[in-house]
Amino acid sequence: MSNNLNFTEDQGEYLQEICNVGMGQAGESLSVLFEQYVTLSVPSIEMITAANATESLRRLIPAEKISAVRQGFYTHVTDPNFCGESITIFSGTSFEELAQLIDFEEELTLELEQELLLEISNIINGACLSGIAEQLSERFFHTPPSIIGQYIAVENLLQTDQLQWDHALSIKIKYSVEKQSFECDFLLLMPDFAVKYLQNVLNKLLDEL
Amino acid sequence: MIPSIMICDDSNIARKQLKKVLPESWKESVKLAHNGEEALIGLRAEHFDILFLDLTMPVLDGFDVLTTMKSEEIQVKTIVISADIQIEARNRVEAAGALDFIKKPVSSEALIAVLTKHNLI
Repeated sequence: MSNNLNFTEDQGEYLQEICNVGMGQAGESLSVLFEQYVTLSVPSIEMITAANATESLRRLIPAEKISAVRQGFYTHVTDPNFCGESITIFSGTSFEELAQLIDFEEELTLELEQELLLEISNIINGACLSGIAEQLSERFFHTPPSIIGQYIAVENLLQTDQLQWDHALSIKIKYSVEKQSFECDFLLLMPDFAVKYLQNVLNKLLDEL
Repeated sequence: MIPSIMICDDSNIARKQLKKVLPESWKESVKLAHNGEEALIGLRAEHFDILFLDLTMPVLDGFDVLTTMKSEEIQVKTIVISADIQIEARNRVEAAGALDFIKKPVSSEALIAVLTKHNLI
């Protein structure tokens, strides 16, 4: 990792707090949807490299088969200071269980399964990123969500030969439901230049402490 | 009289954010715990008037701290400060004996309102 992308201890801790707030907002939205308590855990933040992206993903998401939805976010269309991609990853949960969680009683088709994934990921994405944006005094715009795949291997989450970054900040937030086998990881990936911008914002916030 | 305060949060930044908005005269009487286990060690060793407690922490989380305090009959007015803003989280901490709940990031207004509500200032 290049030195100028290293976070200081204070920057890292501030970022962790910002993510905690985003995670909490998304957890609250999910708990309203599921009518159940959603268990939260401490977000995991690290830098990953394009060269080792597949190995990093395997470590971060140890499930064998996953279903996933991707959505981009950015601060400005023509000159984004800050942008990235969120990936909502469902593992260890069948579509029947997902449907049960939101009292969805229709017979599941491939189209309805995809709607379920898009609906839940949209709720997590919107709530979490709005919490993070508010802390950073930014406004995020979002690209439409798209399904990466259903029952795919983790290696297929990113097309590693087409990545447009050398290093990226990875933030993983885990959501689970105690009484059901719901497990979902929300992964945020931000490229090199967004990391530098984020560090400047964090420095300003730290100066105000 | 200045109350004795413990802040339990795994984040140095969260501890600083809270300390910044505490009443000025209280800031000298603050002790810090970095996780639930440290908090319990401190609470067993000496009496504190107010505990500000985070929920999502490594080693031992805030829910477990409240449960242990209850079973060991550790008496301290506990205000939970957390990003876990689910109604169920609030219900759980109140059932476990917490006095009140403030959502993160903590603001001076929210803190003063809770302290006033419970006659702590």
